[in-house]
Amino acid sequence: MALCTVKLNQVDFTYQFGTPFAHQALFDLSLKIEHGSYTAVVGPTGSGKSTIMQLIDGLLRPTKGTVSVNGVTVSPSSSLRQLAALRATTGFVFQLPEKQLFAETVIEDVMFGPLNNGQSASAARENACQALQQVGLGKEFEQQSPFDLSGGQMRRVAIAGVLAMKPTLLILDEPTAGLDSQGARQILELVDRLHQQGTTILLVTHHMEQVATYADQVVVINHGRLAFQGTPRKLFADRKLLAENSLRWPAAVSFDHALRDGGVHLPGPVSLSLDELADKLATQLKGRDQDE
Amino acid sequence: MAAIVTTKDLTYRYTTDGKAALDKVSLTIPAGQWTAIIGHNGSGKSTLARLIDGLLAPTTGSLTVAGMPMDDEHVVAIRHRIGYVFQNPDNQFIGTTVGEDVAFGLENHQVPREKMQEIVEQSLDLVGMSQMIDEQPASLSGGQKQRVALAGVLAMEPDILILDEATSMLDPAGREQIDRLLLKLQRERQMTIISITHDVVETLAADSIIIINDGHLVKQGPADEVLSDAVGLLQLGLAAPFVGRLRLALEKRGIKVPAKVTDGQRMVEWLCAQLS
Repeated sequence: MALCTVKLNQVDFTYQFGTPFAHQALFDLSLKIEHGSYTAVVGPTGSGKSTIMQLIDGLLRPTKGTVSVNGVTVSPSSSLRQLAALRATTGFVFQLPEKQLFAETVIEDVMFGPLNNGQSASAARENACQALQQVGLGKEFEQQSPFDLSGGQMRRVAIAGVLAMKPTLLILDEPTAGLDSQGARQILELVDRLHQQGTTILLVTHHMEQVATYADQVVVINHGRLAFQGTPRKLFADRKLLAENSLRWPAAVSFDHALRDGGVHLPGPVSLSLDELADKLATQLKGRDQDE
Repeated sequence: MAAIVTTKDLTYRYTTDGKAALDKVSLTIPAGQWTAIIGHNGSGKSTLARLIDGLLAPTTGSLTVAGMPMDDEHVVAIRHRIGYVFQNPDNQFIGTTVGEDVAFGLENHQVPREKMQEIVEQSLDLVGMSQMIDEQPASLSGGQKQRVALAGVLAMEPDILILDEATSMLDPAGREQIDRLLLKLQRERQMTIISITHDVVETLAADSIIIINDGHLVKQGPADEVLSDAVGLLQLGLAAPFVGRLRLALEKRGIKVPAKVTDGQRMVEWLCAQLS
C-alpha cells in the first residue's frame, strides 16, 4: 500500500462555528494524498479549496473528523500546539505570497523562517542560500531589497522563504496568479523539479493546462465536497463531470477533439499537452508525405 | 471613433535619475471599446493605467482623459469618470460586509439610502454575488473577492473601467461569465474598458490590443491581428494563444504550416484537409 502524506477523514469545517455568522465550508470530506505525488486541486472559486489547504497546514481546526499529515493527527479537540505540529513538515505558499515580504534584504527575509524555528544564524543562512539557489536567484540578489525586484522575482523570494524550512509537503495556492508567461514557467519548472526530488506537491490552480502538464493526480472540490479524485486523463475524459464543476478542457484537449470530430485519425487517447498533440500530428503529417 | 484617452510623449520615472518606466508613449484609446494593454511583468503597463487614472502624475508629456487635460484642476473630475479594479482585491476592501463594501463609493457620492441599497443589490447580482451580501469580505475566496471588487466599481457606473489583472483568480467558467457581463455593459452603458494583463486568455474579448515593452509602445492593432503573431509575442516574453504555439511546435518538428492559417478554425480546417 502506498504511503499517504495527507489523510482527511470525514472532515466538516464551519467558519465561525457556534455564532450567528456560522458558514459551513466543507462537508464530510475524505481525501488521501499519496507520498511523492503531484496533486492538482481544482474547483470553482469559493468551493473550499483554500479551506482544505489551511486545514492541512494546521491553520484551521476541523469542526468534525480528523486531519493527518506525515503521521500527526488533529481533531476538533486538538490544542493550538498540536495544530502547529502539522506544520512542522509542511510548507505553504499562499496566494500572492510576495505581500508577506518584509525584511530589508532578500537573505534576511528568507532566513526569517529558519531563525524563527530556532536554527542558529549560520544554519539559517546556509538553508536560506540553498533555497535561493533552488528558486534560481543567485548570490547577487542576497543583499538587495526584495521590494526592488520584479513581481516574478519577489514571488520566488517568498517561495524560497518556504523552501528554507525544508518541507516534505509543499502547498501552493495559485502560485502563478499575476505572473507573466516567463515568470509563471519559472515557478512551474521549479515546482516540477522539487517534485522530482521527492517533495509531495499540492497545487491549487484554475489553469487546466497546468493540471494536464504537471500533475499526476487531480482532486475536484465543489460546494465543499469531494467531486472527483483520479488522474488528469480520467478527469478530462469525463465531459459531464467537467460541466458539473465549471471546469474546461485544456486547449490541447479541445483541439484534439475538434480534429477528431473533423475526421482526423489520431492514435491513442486524447492529447493532454501541446507537445503530445504536436508529436502525434507531426508523425501523421510526415507519414502522409511518405505515402504520396 | 472618438478617443477617450489620448497620450502624448507620456513619460514617467519612479525616481528622478532612474530609468523611465514609461518612455515617450503616444497613443489613443477609442471610446466605447474594449482595449487590452499587454506586456510582461515590469513592462510599464500598470504605470500607464495609473497615469490614466491620475494616481501618478506624468514626469513629462501629457494626457487627455474624457476630453479633459490631466492636471490639478481636472484630476478629480476625471477620477469620477473612471472605475479602477486592482489586481489584489484585499487592497480595496473597506466595509465589514460585502454589501457595505459595495456601498462605500456610493456613500462617498452621497447617493440616497434607498437608491443605494438598490444599486448595491443590482451590482452584486451582476457579478453573481448577491447571496453573499451579508458575508464578511475576509471569509471570501480570492475569486469571490475579485467579483465583489468589480461590483463596487460597477456600482459607480463609470464611463471608463480599468481592470488591472482583475480576473486573475477566477475559474475558467467564472472568467467567461465576467467577460460576457463586461461585453454586455460595454454595449448597454457605452462603457470603455481598459484591461491590463499579460495573459492572452484575458484579451480574447478585447477589440484591440496595445503591447507595452520596457516602457515603450511596441504595437497597437485589432486583437485578432496582434494575437496571430506568435513569434512576436514570444519575443516580448508573452505567451501566444494555443494555435500560435501549436504552429511553432509543428514547425520545430519540420512541418510547414501555410501563412494563411492564423486562427483555430483555419488550423483545424487545414489539418483536417491534410489528414482525413
